[in-house]
Formats: sequence, structure tokens, C-alpha cells
Amino acid sequence: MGDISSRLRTDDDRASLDSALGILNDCLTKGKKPVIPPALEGNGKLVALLQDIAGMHAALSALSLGDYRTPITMHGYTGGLLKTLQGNVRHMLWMFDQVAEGALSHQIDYMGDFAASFNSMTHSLREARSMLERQKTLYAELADNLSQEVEARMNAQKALRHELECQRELASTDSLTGVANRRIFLQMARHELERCRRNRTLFCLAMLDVDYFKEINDSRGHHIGDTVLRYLAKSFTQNLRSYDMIGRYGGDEFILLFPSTSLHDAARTLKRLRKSIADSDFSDCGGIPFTISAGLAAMFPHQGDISLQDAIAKADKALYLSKQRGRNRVTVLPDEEL
Amino acid sequence: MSERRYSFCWDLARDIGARKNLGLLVHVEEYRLVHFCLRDVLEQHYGTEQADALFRETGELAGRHFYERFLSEATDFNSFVAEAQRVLRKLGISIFRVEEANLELGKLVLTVTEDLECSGLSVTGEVSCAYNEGFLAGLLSSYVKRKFHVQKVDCWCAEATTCRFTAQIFEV
Repeated sequence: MGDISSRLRTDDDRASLDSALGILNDCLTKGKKPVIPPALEGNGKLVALLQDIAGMHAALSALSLGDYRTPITMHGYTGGLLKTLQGNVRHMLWMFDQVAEGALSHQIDYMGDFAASFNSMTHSLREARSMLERQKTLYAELADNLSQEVEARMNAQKALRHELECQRELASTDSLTGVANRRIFLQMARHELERCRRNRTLFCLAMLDVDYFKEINDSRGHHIGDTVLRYLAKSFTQNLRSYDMIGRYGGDEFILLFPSTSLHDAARTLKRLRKSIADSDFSDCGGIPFTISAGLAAMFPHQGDISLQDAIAKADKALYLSKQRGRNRVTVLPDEEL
Repeated sequence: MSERRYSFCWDLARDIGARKNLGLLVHVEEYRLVHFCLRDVLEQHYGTEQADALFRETGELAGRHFYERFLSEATDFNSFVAEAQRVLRKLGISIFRVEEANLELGKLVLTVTEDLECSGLSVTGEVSCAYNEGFLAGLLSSYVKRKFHVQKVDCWCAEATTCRFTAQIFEV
């Protein structure tokens, strides 16, 4: 500074230098827009310097406000630094956009700690994504296993249910004829009796058997006897209503129950059954002709203390009367022969 | 043109094991000797504009060959950029970065730092980067399968020289 001062020849020179330095100081420290005094207006170097400083201010201001697109006009080393900063930030912003779209392989090797943080972030994201992908695979496998397990259990449950139904069927069905066995029939008949008692309706129950069944068994063999019984049960099932109850009472004896049926209709149904058997060509039972006898009992359960055994006994008695009267007939109690 | 003698193929450029003592590397100075002497001669014969055009075309041809050899496996733009950055740096050609990229509009802003063609030279803004312009156009055109026009729009020097280019798809 002393050398420069020594070369300033006049007070005006010194004043001009002071003025120029003051302007530069204001530009740098106060951010003031430079106002060039008339005495220095002709100094091209000072004007160019002030323009560069103004350009630097504009660039730094834009960068500090997050504007990385406005072109930096300043030239030279300082301008280069600003452009490098701008370029690096722009490139990094592009990298962030790519990361946001899922491209996690990018790494950067400039901007010091900023780059280290970016690389650390993408590394963590890569690991997190890798872990999520592993978990996704794991969960997919678990879901698959679970699905297989559920399917296996459902199949087992289905098989069990089927088995249960078979067992229930076996427990409630007569294995030879497929109609209800005696135990289940009596259970259903008790319910029907109670229903009739509550509703004050008629309870119609019939017993029937094959005429001379023992002779069929003795002469043709038990397997033919079994065929006859199966044929008979099939005829009952085909000729009765779906809600009529059919049971095998024992041996060649069957027991029928006609819910919500008048005595007349029950008797007519039995008569039709007997006739259809008698008129059959017996081709489905090995051509063995046979007939059936039946006894029908009807009573109002609410009229007195009537039990199921009473009803069965009465139907059995009617059957007995049919046998006495020559078989192949239906007897109704109160006594009426059909 | 009648039968050609100088069609480029990689056999001319690859390591053929002949430089047992000197190896594969050469000084940038030597590269520039060839590069700028060629430009000198071309300018003398055809003028500045035509010399630049020939260098641009040369760069584009180099960019296409470079893409086929090093970058053709890229499955998306990110992998293309990442691999280009890696190979260009590994081979000591330049530091390549993307500032903006909109492939739908076909507009990109790219920077190349420490490149072979102009790094360290005067940054008056008048220095030609015709070869680099062509090279980048060749790379992008090969990847996008459409013609690109690349132009240097800025050049500065801080710790190293950096050139900024814009790239734009154009229809022939």
C-alpha cells in the first residue's frame, strides 16, 4: 500500500483511490449496488471489476435462495468456482430425482461430506430395499406354506366330515335295506308322537311284513330273503312321500309313520303299497313272488296317556289280524279291513 | 467413394500386446498433439467451420462405437449414465455428469470435466469442443435410437475445466 501511495502524485489521485476502495468495500461488505463517482467513471478496470462483483453477488444470491438454473455470467476463476458449485448441485439434484424413482446404484465422488451423506443414504436405501425384497420373498413363501397348510387342513376337515356323515349314516341306517334302523326310527317316532300330542292331531303308524318270509329264506336261501327285503324297502321309498318315515323294525318287519295324515289317506297308501307289491313282476328280486301284510293304527296322543309302545302294539295287533284273515291285506285299528 | 481403407474397427484401438515396454497409456499431451495437428491440417484444407464439422462427425462416430463396445448392455437410462460415467473415468477420458434429463422431450444438460479436448485450455468461450459435442451426440443417439444435436453452451475453469452441453433430439 505504501508503494502505491508513493506513486500517487496528487491529493486527487489519493482521493480517487480512497473512493474506489470505499466503493469496493461497500460492494463486498454491504451488498450495495455500486455507484461510480464521476471522477472514476472513465476507469474501465474499476467498472469491469464492479460488474464482476455484481455478477458474483447475483450468482451467490441465486444459489443461496436455491436457484440453480439461472446462468452464471461471471467469468474467470471465481466465476468458475460458482459454476462448478452450481453444476455439482444440479447434478446432485438430478441424482436425487433418480433415487426418488428407485435408481439406488448412483454414487457421487465430489462435494465432500455432502457426497458422503448422499452415498450413505443410497447405501442404506439399497440395504433397506434388499431387506424388503428378502422379506417379501419370505412372506410369499410363508403365504404359500400357509395356503398349503390351510388347503391340507380343509381337505382333512372335509374327509373328517365325510367320515362323520358315513358314521352317522351307519349309526342311523339299516345296512341291508338303507332305511332307518329301529333305534333312529323310534327316536323320530317319539318326536312325531309329541308333536301330534301338542297339535292335537292324528298319529298314524303301520307295521308290515312279508308273508311267509321264513319259507322264502328256507327254500331259496337267506341271500334271496335279503334281496326281497331290499326290494321292499326300495318300493316303500319310491311310493311314499318324502316326509313319511320308514324303518326296519326287525327281521322282515317294517314300520311306517305317516305324519299329518288322516286315517283314510294312510290306509289308502298302505293298500296301494300292498297292491303294487302283489302286482309286481318281481324281476328286481330274482323273480320270487311274495305278498305283504300290514296293520295300521291311528290314535290321538292328546287323548289319554298314549305311548309309542302303545301305538306299536296296536299296529302290531292289526298286522296280526291281517295274518289271521289270510295275509296279503291291510287291517286298520279301529278295526277295518282293506 | 470407391473401396475404403480406413473404416474403423476396434482391432485398431484395442490392446494387441505390442507395447510391451510402454504399455497402454499415453500422455494427454501426445493425444492433443495428434488431435490438434489434425485439426490444424483440416482447417488449412477446409476452413475452420468445415474442420469443426469433421471433428463433430468424428466424435459422433467414436461415440457410437464407444456405446456399442461399452454401454450397449444398459437396460435403462440410469444404468446407461452410471456405466458411461464409470468407463469414461476409468479410461481417463473425462468426468461425465448429467444436470438435467428429460428423455420424453429429448432434452438434456450435461457437463464434462477434465476432458481430453479442452481441459486446461483458455476458457474464453471460443475454444471449440466439436469432437466432444459429436461424441456425446453419438452416445445419446445410440442409446435413444434417435438423432441428437449436442452443443457446448458454457465453459469454465475452477480446479479443473468443465464444459456444459445441451443435447436435443432433432428430426432429420
